[in-house]
Amino acid sequence: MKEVKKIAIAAGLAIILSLVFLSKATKLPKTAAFLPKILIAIVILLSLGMVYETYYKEKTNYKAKRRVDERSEEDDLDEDNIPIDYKKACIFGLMIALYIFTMKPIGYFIVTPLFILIAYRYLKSTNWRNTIFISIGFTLFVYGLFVLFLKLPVPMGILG
Amino acid sequence: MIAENIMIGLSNALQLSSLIGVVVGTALGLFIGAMPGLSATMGIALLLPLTYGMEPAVGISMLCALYMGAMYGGSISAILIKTPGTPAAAATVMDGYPMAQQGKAGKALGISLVASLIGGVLSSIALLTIAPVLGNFALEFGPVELFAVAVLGITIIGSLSAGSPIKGILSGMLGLLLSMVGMDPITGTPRFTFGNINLFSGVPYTVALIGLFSIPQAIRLVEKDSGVAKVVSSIKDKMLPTLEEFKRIFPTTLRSSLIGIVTGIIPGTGGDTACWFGYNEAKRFAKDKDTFGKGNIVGVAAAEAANNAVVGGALIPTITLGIPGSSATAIIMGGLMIHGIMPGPTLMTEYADLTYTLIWALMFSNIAMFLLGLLFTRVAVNVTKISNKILAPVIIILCVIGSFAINNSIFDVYLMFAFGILGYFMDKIDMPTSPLVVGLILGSMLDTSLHQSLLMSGGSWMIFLQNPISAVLLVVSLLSILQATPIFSVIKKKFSKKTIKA
Repeated sequence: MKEVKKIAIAAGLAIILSLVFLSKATKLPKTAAFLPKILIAIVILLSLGMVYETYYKEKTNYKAKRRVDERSEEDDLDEDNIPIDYKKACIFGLMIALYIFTMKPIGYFIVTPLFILIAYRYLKSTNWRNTIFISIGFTLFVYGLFVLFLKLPVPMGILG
Repeated sequence: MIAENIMIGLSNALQLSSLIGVVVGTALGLFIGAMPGLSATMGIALLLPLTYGMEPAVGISMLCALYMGAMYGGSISAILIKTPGTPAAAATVMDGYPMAQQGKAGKALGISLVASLIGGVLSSIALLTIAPVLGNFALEFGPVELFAVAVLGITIIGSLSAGSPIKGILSGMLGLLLSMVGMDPITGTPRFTFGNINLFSGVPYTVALIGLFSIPQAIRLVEKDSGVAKVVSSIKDKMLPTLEEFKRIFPTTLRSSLIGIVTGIIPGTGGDTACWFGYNEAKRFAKDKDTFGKGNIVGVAAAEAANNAVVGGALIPTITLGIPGSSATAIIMGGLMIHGIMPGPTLMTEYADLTYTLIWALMFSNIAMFLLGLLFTRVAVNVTKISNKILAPVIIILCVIGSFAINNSIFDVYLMFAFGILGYFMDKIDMPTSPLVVGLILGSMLDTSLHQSLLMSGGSWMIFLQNPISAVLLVVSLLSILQATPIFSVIKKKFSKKTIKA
């Protein structure tokens, strides 16, 4: 039933998004709201359908799934069998958010090497020497590629 | 006219800048494909912003070459470390890894390279011959047919995507709904912009797809890293197959190439489907079925020819109809759009020089792939050893800077991250992200063509059934939805029971 709960939350979010769009659509001219209203109705229906489908599948396949799970435990350790480290994923996600939100005020040249440094140390990616080398080297490489070679901008922040 | 355009395309593709683009793209593809955890789609998404600063023909050729190179690159880690570098190389593991264990890693890679070359060349020929014909046919399409094409694109990619068809179609519909953000094309009214001026021109879908295909991948690399060092088989033998071995794999390679082309043409099915399809068919036709899975060279050739043949096949609907055949071609469409080129029927006329350059570049990328494969496969082995924990932050930086560079906008970076988080959670509930991208792309075409069609018919929906092309396409859409329902499953079960009895 864990899967049903997960799907129900996802469906709930899709329905909430649809309802927010619907509230905005009611204020639009009829022509502009025509297709969005159809799409909103389909999204709501499919979201409910997705929950029902998961519930139905869980109910009917519960025993079969248990058999498969027992068998798969005996298999060799491969990519699919490695447990997910949600804590690590969450902290890495927060690091990305911090990197993105500090990019504009502080600037590429400060936050990028810092991001690599902190992420590598947290993830225990490599030793200190390599970490420092990659953080500086990759920052310069990306700058060279985007700005010097392709004439594309990067946010310079306080150095701009 | 077509012959003239083909020659113009050839001469453009032979320009030094285009050839460099092809070689660099193929080399990048080879290395990205060889790294387990990095898919061809993500590689193209990361390269996309870089093409913004290039000539359109060079940039797009580079993206296509990367796609082709990654298809072969995926087999390197599949054969050497039993982990497919890309999902499209999953079936290569079956016979490739046992060959490596028997000390024939070089031979397995050589067979993979030759089969990839044949699959890629045949699919490029298919693209060069089918695309102009289909493109000419599509030129006759008006709003009614275009509406049906958009509906078909969404339903077929949604219902054929891996996993539940309901989730696939829902993903496509969410993409369509998000594509409604921005100025309404008919009335010019801002729609669902929530007062944010950055959303007036709509959701920039190139930014959305960088987030959808790269951020979840980077987080996955971190959350599932076992910390166990990869055991890589070494290459000690010769790579190129003997004439006898070539004769043995040739019929299967041809069959798998055909399978790959057809699979590529069907939206929603890509290299991951084609490689298994090609492998299973090779096994079905083989006299020595029991040797499959134990290091049969035919098994390696079957999977690899099929996944490379997908590339040309998937580009056929992308170029001619504006419907991406796979998530990778959806990003290539994005590449065209950031240069102000709208994929679809006009691509074969208004932008014929660019289109034929792209097709020739794809052809040349096969040669580049073969030569680079022979020269650098032994070097590419080293990239399979790179830790996921080193790659993940590097991917993030490329995503952030890439999405900023397209419009020089930090808002795009926030949007990219939001789509990345959305993609991560969609992945957690097994909802495919490709239909969402296709929905985002096809949304404006669907909206405009629907309004134009209804204006033409005075508001009657019957116009879509009175037009024969539109009626056929809508019936196919309906069938693609129906095949995902329990009714079709019952019919399939009955049919398979009959086949087993027979």
